[in-house]
Amino acid sequence: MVWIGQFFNSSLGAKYLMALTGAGAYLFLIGHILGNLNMFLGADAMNSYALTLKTLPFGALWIARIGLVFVFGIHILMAIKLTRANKSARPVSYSKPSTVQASLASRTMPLTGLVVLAFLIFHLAHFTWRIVAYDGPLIDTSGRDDVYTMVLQGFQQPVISMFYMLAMLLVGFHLSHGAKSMFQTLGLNNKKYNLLITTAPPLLGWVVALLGVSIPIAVLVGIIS
Amino acid sequence: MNLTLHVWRQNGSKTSGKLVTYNANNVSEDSSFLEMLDEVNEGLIANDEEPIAFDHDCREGICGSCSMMINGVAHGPERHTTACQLHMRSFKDGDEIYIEPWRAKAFPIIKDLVVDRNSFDKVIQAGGYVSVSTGGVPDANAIPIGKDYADSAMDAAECIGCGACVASCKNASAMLFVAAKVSHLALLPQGQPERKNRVLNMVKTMDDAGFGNCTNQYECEAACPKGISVEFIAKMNRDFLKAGLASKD
Amino acid sequence: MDLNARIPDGPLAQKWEKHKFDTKLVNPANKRKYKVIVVGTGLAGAAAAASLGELGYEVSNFCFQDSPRRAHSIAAQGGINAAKNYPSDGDSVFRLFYDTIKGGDFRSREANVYRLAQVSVDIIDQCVAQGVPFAREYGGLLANRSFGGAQVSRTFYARGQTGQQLLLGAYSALSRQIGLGHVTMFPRTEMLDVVLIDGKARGIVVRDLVTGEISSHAAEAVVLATGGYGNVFYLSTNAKGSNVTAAFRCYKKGAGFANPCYTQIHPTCIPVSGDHQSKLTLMSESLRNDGRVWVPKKKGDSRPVREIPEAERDYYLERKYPSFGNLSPRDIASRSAKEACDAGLGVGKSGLGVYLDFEDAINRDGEQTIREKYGNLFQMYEKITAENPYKVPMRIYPAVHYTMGGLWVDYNLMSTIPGLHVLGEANFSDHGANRLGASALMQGLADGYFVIPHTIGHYLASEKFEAVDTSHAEFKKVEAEVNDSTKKLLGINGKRSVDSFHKELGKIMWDKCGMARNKAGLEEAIQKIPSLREEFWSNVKVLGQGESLNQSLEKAGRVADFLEHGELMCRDALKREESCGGHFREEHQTGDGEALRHDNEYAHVAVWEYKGENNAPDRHEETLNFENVKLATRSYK
Repeated sequence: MVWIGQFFNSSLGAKYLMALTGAGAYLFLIGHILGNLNMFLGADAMNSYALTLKTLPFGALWIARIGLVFVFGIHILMAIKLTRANKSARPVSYSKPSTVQASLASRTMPLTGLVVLAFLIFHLAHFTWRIVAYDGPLIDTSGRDDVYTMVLQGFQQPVISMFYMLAMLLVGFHLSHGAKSMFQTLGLNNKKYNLLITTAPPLLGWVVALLGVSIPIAVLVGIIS
Repeated sequence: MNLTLHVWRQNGSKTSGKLVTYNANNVSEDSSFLEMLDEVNEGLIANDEEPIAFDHDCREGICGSCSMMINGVAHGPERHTTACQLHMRSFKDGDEIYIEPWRAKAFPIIKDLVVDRNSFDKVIQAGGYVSVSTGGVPDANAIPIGKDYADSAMDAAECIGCGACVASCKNASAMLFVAAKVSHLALLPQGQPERKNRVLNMVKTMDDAGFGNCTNQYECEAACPKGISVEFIAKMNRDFLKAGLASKD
Repeated sequence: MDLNARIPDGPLAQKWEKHKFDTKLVNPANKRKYKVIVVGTGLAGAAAAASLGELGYEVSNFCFQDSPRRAHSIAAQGGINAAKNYPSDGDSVFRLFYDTIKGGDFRSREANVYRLAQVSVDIIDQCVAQGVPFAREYGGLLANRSFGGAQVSRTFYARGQTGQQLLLGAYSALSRQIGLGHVTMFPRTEMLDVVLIDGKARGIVVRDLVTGEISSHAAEAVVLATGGYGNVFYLSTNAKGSNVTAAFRCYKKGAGFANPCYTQIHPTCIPVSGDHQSKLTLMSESLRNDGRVWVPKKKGDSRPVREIPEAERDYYLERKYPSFGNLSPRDIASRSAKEACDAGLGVGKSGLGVYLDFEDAINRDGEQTIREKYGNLFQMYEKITAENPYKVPMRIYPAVHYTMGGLWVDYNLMSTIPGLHVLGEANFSDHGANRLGASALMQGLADGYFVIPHTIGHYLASEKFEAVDTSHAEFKKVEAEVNDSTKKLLGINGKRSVDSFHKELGKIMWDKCGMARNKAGLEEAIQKIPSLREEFWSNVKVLGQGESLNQSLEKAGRVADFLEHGELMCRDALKREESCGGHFREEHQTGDGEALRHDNEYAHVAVWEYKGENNAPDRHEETLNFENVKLATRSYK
């Protein structure tokens, strides 16, 4: 089984892991944001959605959580490994560097990734572990965990809302490169489909990110209250 | 036209280097970039200064010797053009031009603009061939090859091995070069028997040489004087994945 | 000088097979005990090093470039000939043989040329097996085209980069042997002398171009595949690094130099644009299939080209050679361009150029068709000249392209120094006085893949070798000589750069020993070159040190040899009192200005023997016997 280690330790193997975990995180994000749109449907919808997730059969929530830890963990580990290798591959940089066609997003992936990671930790501390800016416990009238109010209270604080919005925009930006890059890394590049591959996934990423932004905005302007 | 050049001067691989400023005066717009450097060198010699060392040979854009970053762009501002085929009419009077060597750990500087690209040869030695010895091969027309495959193999085989892909890559990655080499043979029936081991060995040698990793920014494709497509990188990624998971050992 | 060509007996078609049977073989287990040095990694060198490594010899391979893949074979555009007769249009080994002999103006050796035509078919098989992506038809079979005025389609090609693809094929085979440890590769290493022990070539002395270290390598045989000497003219289509040094230093050690005056001037190159020019760029000969060559009828016609009416243009090739017209052979097309320009009818700023006009072809076939055929060439032309050849005619002028002369070799490709074998453009053997298009690649690969692997075995098996290593006194002596000469160049510290000498030599050669030569001019050159040489050795300025990368020093050594070799070329041209192929002596022409051969006196190879620094070299002759072809006058009217 040594070969598995060798395979994934190679430059390409590490990139496959990067692409696969990136794809996993991308899919998770889509599901997560779509679920959170329940905020627009009111407290009952949101809280029952949250309860449904918690009471999924076979411990599915925990399996998913462990899966996500792996997805993000490997994505981060590979990012560190690859970025370090990339830095050391050019010990002396150009005195007059120039860029012909690489997008800003592609050149700032480590940076945007890092900010998103910081956000992710805050987000977990905020809504999952509830150790930051959480004024609970909050229970709704049906005795359910009142996620709706928690989110509402959280986003009514402009600084937190702004951080969420900024983070979601950076996620969109990160995905504008990442969501097409993963296809290339996994070898899915074909003239016939390239237009689709290079436009649709990043576009979907932006849509999802903007939907994510829409929730704190809606709270701030009072659409959700 | 008159130009101000900032040229990287470095005496050897172990010493440090610096940008030195020279004036290039009365440059003909019909001269090539290297001919402009020739004239600068003649001037340096007249002043008892050592001329700028740079690699060059065929000066018709095919040998892949010439290798310099011109204002931060490999081979300079014209697309699909090597430095030797770049003409001074691409610049204008009064321009400042920065000239630096390819920079990558895997391409150590030998002197001034001259770098050691031996790591490319090592990659080929690791598998960039079909293991046939001279003689005893089938008739050339024994295996028909579809024109589209032959053309596509030729698209990859056009690579001149200059290293502009590495130089221009933000990560000093050699993926475009290695992918072109792997794909050329992977597209032909002659390349099939060794296809899996070829890609595994060539990628391993590439990694060991200290090149960076591809982050799919495609600066390489923009810099490539032969316009080799990044599609070949995807193709190699596919091949390596299959070979890595499916090879017997 | 022993000029026995060792041509095997028997009918032409069976000589090579018979010879292969008659030659001695080296036992497979013993091959690894023989060291072979191969200098050069072009088609001939890389093919030889790879093939010898595959056979089991211990091979050391040297090139001055940073990688074996960059040798100048890579720049060949058009294609490679082979008598495959795939199109079934009447080609055969004999026809390829005959065309090559005739194209060479009956100044090459029948047996060698026939063998070349025979093995040409194996080359294509070999290259395809290596993965060379030749052009193919839709049915998947190989495509062929007619090239250089040949009457049959026997040229295989890979877009406009045939040389590149063939070289990469040979390089891949070589790389495999390097990876397996059978060949040791020494890039950025230049051969500066050959070492003879007991009269046999037993090694070479080289300079590591990065560290400057001078060192020796010993072997049982030395193979030279170091290309041609076109750069003696300074401006040529050769790579900047191409040089005569390795071959010339062997000449000085006793190898005969054959037909040095035979140079090929290619008619379709981009004209010189100014004093800054460092090299000339070839435009593929295929352009003459659709382009029409002309000059204005009126001297100094300054009208824009498209305003010169049809009636005031001289389509001189069509006028002079109605049956071949614009497709006349290279030497004829080149000389006609020179005549037009000498008469003051040349075009462009310098007056040294003629038009190659695609207007009629574009009107006839449409711009799209022309673009499909020549798009990359038109693009290249525009890149260099900033003129759009779809709108205005190209300007072209002849340029030095290939040298048919080279070190003399016998049928086994061995020079007059035992053990020193010479392949490819570096030898003289196959192209006579003029080379046909798409034949250089064929010869390089034939020599490297299919000839030398057999003939070197015969030499190694026939000789007894005393054990010699680089500590031998002779190696030390030659190393010291090389060191001295390097130090001498660095110590002159004169006033003029190496390039200025090279340019001056080039001008003498081009004016006096170029497309047309005459007695007075050649005698003048033979006077001028030695004094230029003398000035070089007292007034050249080579800066920097010997112990590091020093490109001026490299050039200086090469130019020093060109300064001697150029004189040898002029001497050869002076003594050959006839016109043949690329050698046109103005005194020897027919009434209407065509080349006039003198078969009775000059159907021979002229072989020059070095006689020391201050002595004129000796001229020897190898008579050429034509048993299978009749000597005829080439006519393209």
